[in-house]
Amino acid sequence: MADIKHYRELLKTKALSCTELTEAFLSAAEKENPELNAYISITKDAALKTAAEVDAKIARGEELGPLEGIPVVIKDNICTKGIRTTCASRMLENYVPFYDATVWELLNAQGAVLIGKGNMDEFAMGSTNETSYFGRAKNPHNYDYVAGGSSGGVAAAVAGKLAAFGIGTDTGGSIRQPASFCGVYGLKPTYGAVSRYGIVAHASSFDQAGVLANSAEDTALVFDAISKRDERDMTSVGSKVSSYENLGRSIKGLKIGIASEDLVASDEEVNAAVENAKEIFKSLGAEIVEIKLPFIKDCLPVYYILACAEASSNLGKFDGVRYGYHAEDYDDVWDMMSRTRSEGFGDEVKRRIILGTYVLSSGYFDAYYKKAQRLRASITKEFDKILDTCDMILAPTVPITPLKAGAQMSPVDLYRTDICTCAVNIVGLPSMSVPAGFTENDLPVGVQLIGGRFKEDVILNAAYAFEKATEGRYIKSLEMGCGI
Amino acid sequence: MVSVDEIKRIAALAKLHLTEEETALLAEQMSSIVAFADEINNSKLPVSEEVLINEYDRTEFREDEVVPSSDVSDILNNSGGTQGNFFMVKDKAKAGRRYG
Repeated sequence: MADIKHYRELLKTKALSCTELTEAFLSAAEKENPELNAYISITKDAALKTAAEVDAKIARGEELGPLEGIPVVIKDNICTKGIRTTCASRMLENYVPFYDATVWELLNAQGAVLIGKGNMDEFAMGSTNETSYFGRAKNPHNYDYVAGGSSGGVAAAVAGKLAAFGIGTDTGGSIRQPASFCGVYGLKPTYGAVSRYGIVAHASSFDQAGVLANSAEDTALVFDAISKRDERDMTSVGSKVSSYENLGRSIKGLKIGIASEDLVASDEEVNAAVENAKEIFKSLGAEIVEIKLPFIKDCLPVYYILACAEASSNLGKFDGVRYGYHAEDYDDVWDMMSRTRSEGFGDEVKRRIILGTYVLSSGYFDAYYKKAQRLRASITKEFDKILDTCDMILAPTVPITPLKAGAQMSPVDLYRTDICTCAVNIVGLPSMSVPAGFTENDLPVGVQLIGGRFKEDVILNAAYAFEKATEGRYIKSLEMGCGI
Repeated sequence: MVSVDEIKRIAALAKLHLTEEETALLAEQMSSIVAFADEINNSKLPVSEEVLINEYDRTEFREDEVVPSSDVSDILNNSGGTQGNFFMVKDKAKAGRRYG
């Protein structure tokens, strides 16, 4: 299997040099990207420089770290020093950060090789990648379908073997939904497990960086590498348990909650994948318990009110003065700011800024923002009660199968597709999408495992057990990629 | 129902310059989005008096210590215009003709 362990073995046994491995990935990315559009930037020079450093280390006979020399794609809202970071927006089309985000700093220090910056929905606002200023990333399983969003480019690059693993961000499902659509693993860690420093903020109390990979083992390995406490992010806690070292434990007796009345998909192919996963977990000795989540429908409006309110505030800094797009024609400095923002932001971003400003404005603050914030506390308490009765929850990742590009859904209809993912962002729980089936037309379907706070090791171990039991048959090998 | 005037008021607060067409479209879209947001009123959950869960929403404080600041030239590097250590924005007279 083409996973991180496989690439490490190639480097360790000197079957390939790191430069050769990197060149193979770069060459595949350059070949596929004009059509797939998974990358906004391919960072060839930086990649080859790191690879040469790794090769020098190998030549000196030094042992490599677990991610040293391994090709990675980073979502383009994660700051990379000296490398353009656009957020897939005209507003930041030419923005070059002078500092690294902590998550990239950790991987860079461990010798991971940056192949490029992944395409995404503009400012991480969207579910189809179609709001990207650079055009949508396509689904590598079928180019007529969307890769999902907002971390769609990262998911497409990992599924297409144009990177060994990827780092995305998840505010309301932005790692798990594209992971499900593209047939890869996608972990949204507990809020606070991974530092947000240097990640362009969308909704600060929801945003969390996480992992997209081709196996549960790779996901655990990378999660361990990035889940460190960071003093520069006051909400950062890190993770105290190694998920990687806890893989392979028996899941006999693991209590898995299923909300078969409240958390169901509208598409029967998704429900069939959940049912199949339930039977596999049962065969592994897990105990299935029925749970009730009647408040799940409350999560969507609560999420959109609060996330848009935070986004409208976070995006206030883009005014054309200090960095980013700058309008050319204007009357005065205030007009310059308004025109900069109108020309620099796309339609979906403007829609969410308007909603966020609306719910924070005088006359509406109590009815929307304050009420949603109070319901958020109630929902958190309800989830805590549920997770006292089971170890994890099994649910659909997305209620529908991958969407066809250009589906022309209304904004509200598109928001409603976040029903299965956004609840855990409200509450801050860890959750991952696991490849678990295919549709009739051979597109991937994922199921979601939701765990208790900082219990990533539990859901990653369950995903690992599922993967072993199904012999990896839900990971499809595509006719693209580096071929190594 | 969100009116065109309401959208104009919110756009001014959000510092967004909208054309008449954009304003009309947003008024229409925002009406259905606000109706969607109104669904919080259908919630049967008890509305908590708290807005934070103290157990989880804590802030990890650190020692207050002086550390080197970022380099000023690095910070100014992405700006469209600078003068000394300041950001520079062209004034109205130099900005040229406004369009629209």
